[in-house]
Amino acid sequence: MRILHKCAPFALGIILSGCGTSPSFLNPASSIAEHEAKLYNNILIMALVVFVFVEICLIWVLIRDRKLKGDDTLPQQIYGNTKLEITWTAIPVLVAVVLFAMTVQTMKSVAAPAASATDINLHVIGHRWWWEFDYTDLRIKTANELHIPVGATVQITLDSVDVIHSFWVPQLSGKTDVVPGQTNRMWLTADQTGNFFGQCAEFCGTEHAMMRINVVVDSQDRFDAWVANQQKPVPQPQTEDEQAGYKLVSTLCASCHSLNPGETETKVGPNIAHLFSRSTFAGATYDLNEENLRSWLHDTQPMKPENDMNLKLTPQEIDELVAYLLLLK
Amino acid sequence: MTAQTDIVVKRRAPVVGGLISWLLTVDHKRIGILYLLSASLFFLVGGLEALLIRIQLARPENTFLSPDTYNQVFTMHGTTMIFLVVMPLAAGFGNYMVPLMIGARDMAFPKLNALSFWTFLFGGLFMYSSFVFGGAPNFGWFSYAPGTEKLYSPTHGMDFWILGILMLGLATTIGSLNFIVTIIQLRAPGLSLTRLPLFVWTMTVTSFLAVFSLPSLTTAVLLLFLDRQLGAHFYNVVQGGSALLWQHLFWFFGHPEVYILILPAMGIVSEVIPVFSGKPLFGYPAVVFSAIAIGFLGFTVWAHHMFATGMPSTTLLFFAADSFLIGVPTGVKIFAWLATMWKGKLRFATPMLFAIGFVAMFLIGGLDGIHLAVVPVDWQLTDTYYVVSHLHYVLFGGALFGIFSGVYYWFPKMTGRRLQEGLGKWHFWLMFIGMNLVFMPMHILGLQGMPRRIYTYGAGRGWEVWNFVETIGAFIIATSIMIFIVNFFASLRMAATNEEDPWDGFTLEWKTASPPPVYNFAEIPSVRSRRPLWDEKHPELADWRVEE
Amino acid sequence: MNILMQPRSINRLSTGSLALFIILASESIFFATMLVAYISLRDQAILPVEHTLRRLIIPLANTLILFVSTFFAWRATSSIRRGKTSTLKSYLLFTVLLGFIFIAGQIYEFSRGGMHINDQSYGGIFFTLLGFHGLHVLAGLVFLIINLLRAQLGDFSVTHHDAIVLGTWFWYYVVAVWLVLFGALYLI
Ligand code: HEA
Ligand code: HEA
Ligand code: HEC
Ligand code: CUA
Ligand SMILES: [Cu+2]
Repeated sequence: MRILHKCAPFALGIILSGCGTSPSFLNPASSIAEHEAKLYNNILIMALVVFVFVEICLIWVLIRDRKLKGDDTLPQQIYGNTKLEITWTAIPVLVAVVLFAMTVQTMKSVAAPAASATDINLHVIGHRWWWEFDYTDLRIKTANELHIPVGATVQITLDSVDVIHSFWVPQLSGKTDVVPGQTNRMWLTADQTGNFFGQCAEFCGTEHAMMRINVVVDSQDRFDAWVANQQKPVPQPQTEDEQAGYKLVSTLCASCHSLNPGETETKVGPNIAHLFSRSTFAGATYDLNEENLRSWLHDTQPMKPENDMNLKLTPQEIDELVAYLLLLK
Repeated sequence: MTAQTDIVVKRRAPVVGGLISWLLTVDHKRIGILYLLSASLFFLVGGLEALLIRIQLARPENTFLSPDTYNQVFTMHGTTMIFLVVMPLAAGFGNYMVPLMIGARDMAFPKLNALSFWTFLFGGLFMYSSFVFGGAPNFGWFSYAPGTEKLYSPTHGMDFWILGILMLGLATTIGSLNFIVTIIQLRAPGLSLTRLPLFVWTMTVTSFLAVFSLPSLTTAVLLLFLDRQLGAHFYNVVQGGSALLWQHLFWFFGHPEVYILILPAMGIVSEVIPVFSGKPLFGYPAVVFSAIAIGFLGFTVWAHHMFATGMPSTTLLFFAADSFLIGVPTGVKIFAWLATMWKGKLRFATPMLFAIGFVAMFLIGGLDGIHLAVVPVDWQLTDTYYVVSHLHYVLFGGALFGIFSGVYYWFPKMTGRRLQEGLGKWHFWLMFIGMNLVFMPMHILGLQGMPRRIYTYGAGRGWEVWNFVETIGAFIIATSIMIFIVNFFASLRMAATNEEDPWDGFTLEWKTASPPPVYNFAEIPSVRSRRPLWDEKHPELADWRVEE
Repeated sequence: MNILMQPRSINRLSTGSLALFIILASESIFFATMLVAYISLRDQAILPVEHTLRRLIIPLANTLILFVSTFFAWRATSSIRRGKTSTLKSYLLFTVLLGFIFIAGQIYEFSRGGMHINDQSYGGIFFTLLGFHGLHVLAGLVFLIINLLRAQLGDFSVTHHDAIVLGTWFWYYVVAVWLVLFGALYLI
């Protein structure tokens, strides 16, 4: 019901996007996306008016003015008509002015609120091919899965460590490119809880398709609980396997992965301090479970060709690693 | 044509034949045909690549192509269709037709003309040879830096792309220079600029666009080459380079480029619609002026490809406003074509069908363009299939339909035979249906949040059905192309009828034999109006009576 | 009349000069985009080399040399307009010689160290701009030398000397570009 209510203003959009199942901005979950959807809808209607008008004229002319068999008379030679020509120049100019006004208005509506209204500061860092999320004030770091509380104003700065990416969660907001050497800004807010699909939208190389985002919008309470959990240091290994695993992680993996939830350095790979608090991994493309993790550690390349993690581990090492990694809740 | 000149002409016509004469030719008509044929072959290759794309995307999580192969394929598909298909097809028609339409014997610089063709062909083949030498370019047709730096794209693919683009740019620059000089210098007596056929006008504007926009692309790729080969740091932000510099340089070329692709097709349509309506083009001066206006405005909208890069909102609004404005002169053309047909006596031969298809389909693409120019909407739609839909409606429904209109229209002039109407109609309708099946659902996919350039996607987002429909559509287009190929060869094998003027045309190319002799016109025609042949056929209704 | 001849151009503009103007216009966009790149990169890069007065000596001298060379190029054209082939030859020769001195100066500049093409983005754009200008100077020199050789063979006369005029125009253009580059790279 709720979805229907949301969709109602976008009647056209529903038909087009199958409102509900798709990560479509026509099924908005934030005021930003809603403004954008409204604007889209209005412009679609204007375009359809122009479209229908022109196509009807065209079809009408094609039917009426076709040359009939045996009709050898010449059509009247019409060279032009200044009044008509001025009309069909002037009307589009007016339409353009209206379009411009609408654009300005929506840009104002979706502009970022003042810094004083910030609830959460987020630093998004694009990597080939995964997302790093750094909650700068909360001193926690996570990857690919972004948690925000419903209704909060999230101010985001975006940077890239390599090529250009683009941060996009359609139901929450439009795209902002993530450009190396330039810190871009955007903001987010969500007015309903749930999981929202996002994806890197600027071609960034081989695994561009596998650089997805999972945004989890929680109630404030659940979000606070999540934060509290993320801020905890990693648990101590207990069993033999876990201890062996811990040793391996701190020797083999630590160059690229940090086990410190408040790590300030930007590493090559995702922070894994609370790996198993996430439901997906590897650019939010695979469900995170023991089986997938094993296959990842066995060989990452078939799962995500050409990604930067390339290791040869023995089955025993994998067992030990998994034993420890499973602790990282 | 008097009997006397006929004799002189026969004696002087050089005896030509054999492959060598085609390799060495500097005749604008033969060069035109060489352009058309090689670009058509590239079209088949680019189309084949499109089919590979569609097969891969037909189902979610398909593994038909590896990720890197997919990236090579869509990069080469885009690069091919733009640089090796639409541009050279337009150059082919331009070469063949411009001298005929302006009553000249050849282009101003015949040898440069040959040079331009061979540079183009070599550049294209060179780029394709990268498939053999360790991998084709794989970073999209606009190859955004810094992803194209050696660090991120270590194969030689990008180097082939850079050098290929430099050669193609050179070829186009030489060709455009030749068109401009030819059109300014070699017009028949009386053929003032205000009487030029529209196709000649659009070729003029196109040539100016090319000459003034290509240098920006040259700069962009040269700097990239220096980065990759000599260790310079133009696009390397760690060493004081800039990632967005590439985008500005590329799109300062790239947007004029899209008008380079569409204007010749608009020119063809502006020739075909009047002839098949039996009326002059409605509001000729306005249509000419709109082409020029598009040319100028085309240089001021480039950053609408960069709305999401984090530019200040005043900049965004400037480029949005300019992009809306460019719809105005385009609208002038659409309405002028409608008005030309209005109260005409329309003959629906295949050239006309494609021209009408152009008007109907380009309109969709143009209106999509307006959507994309609305900044907040573009933030949602940029880099999604909505853009892919836009670009195919304007390029396939627009440029390619216009070109096919030209193929059916001018084939009798070039070969002395008409293409078969029956097969032509099958070709048109299948292509029309197919393209709408492929490209209409792309709007929906874009709205549903499907990004472009992804080699795979997960199920459950509502994308599967539409992708599958598109793949079917692509094969329907392929079928239509096969029909065209059959038609092409079947028609060539029929006895030549050598009709001089099969369509009851208006412009000078219909005043000479089909195919025209090497020297085009035994006697240089002189012109008193915009429709010299109409004047000849209907002296009492001659245009010059009205125009003067 | 040979009916296979191209009809005479309906404009008074010569085909060659029209072509040259179009080429130069296109070249100007090339240099302009390079300059835009220069300006946008300059602010981001740490300049590896200070522009002390001493470093300006050669570029300044080169500017002077090109200035003088345009004078000779101009004299060459006006000589042939008056039909004086011998003065044409000597003026052309002077222009070419000055051109070579310029190139020599540039080579010295390039090779004396302190900066490389891979020194930050700045080093790259600095050398690329000067390098492409240098290539244009060389192209101009080739053009002038061919003209000189043709003059030697007696190809030119009062009525027939388009190539001389075009060569001079090209040379003016190369000098004009130098002035812009000099201003951009050394003065501001
Ligand atoms: C033939 C080529 C062609 C043509 C003619 C056009 C025409 C236009 N294009 Fe398109 N465009 C491309 C080829 C072309 N484009 C390509 C290839 C890309 C993708 C590049 C890439 O990323 O790979 C692209 C991308 C592109 C973008 C960037 C999208 C993105 O990446 O986010 C934008 C944004 O503004 C845009 C806008 C326009 C506009 C406003 C027009 C206008 O010229 C359209 C004008 C026409 C009309 C408006 C219809 C007729 C007018 C009327 C009936 C009158 C009524 C008019 C009004 C209401 C104003 N185009
Ligand atoms: C003129 C330009 C043009 C044309 C005509 C086409 C034609 C087609 N295009 Fe393409 N396309 C582009 C220009 C064009 N495209 C550009 C610029 C891009 C962007 C690239 C980028 O992102 O960098 C693009 C991207 C693009 C994509 C997006 C890829 C992605 O983002 O991941 C897709 C996906 O479906 C697609 C599909 C098609 C299809 C199905 C056709 C069909 O219409 C093709 C029809 C043709 C045929 C089917 C050929 C027939 C061949 C045969 C019958 C075989 C016979 C063979 C022999 C005898 C050897 N195109
Ligand atoms: C060379 C650097 C490197 C080393 C060493 C490395 N990794 Fe990785 N790892 C990466 C990168 C890069 C990714 C991100 C891959 C992607 O998603 O594209 C990654 C991703 C992961 C992920 C998925 C995280 C997520 O949330 O997406 C896990 C789990 C992981 N690595 C575990 C390990 C373990 C365990 C080790 C040691 C045995 C290890 N890695 C060693 C670079 C490395
Ligand atoms: Cu990151 Cu695409
Ligand atoms: Cu554009």
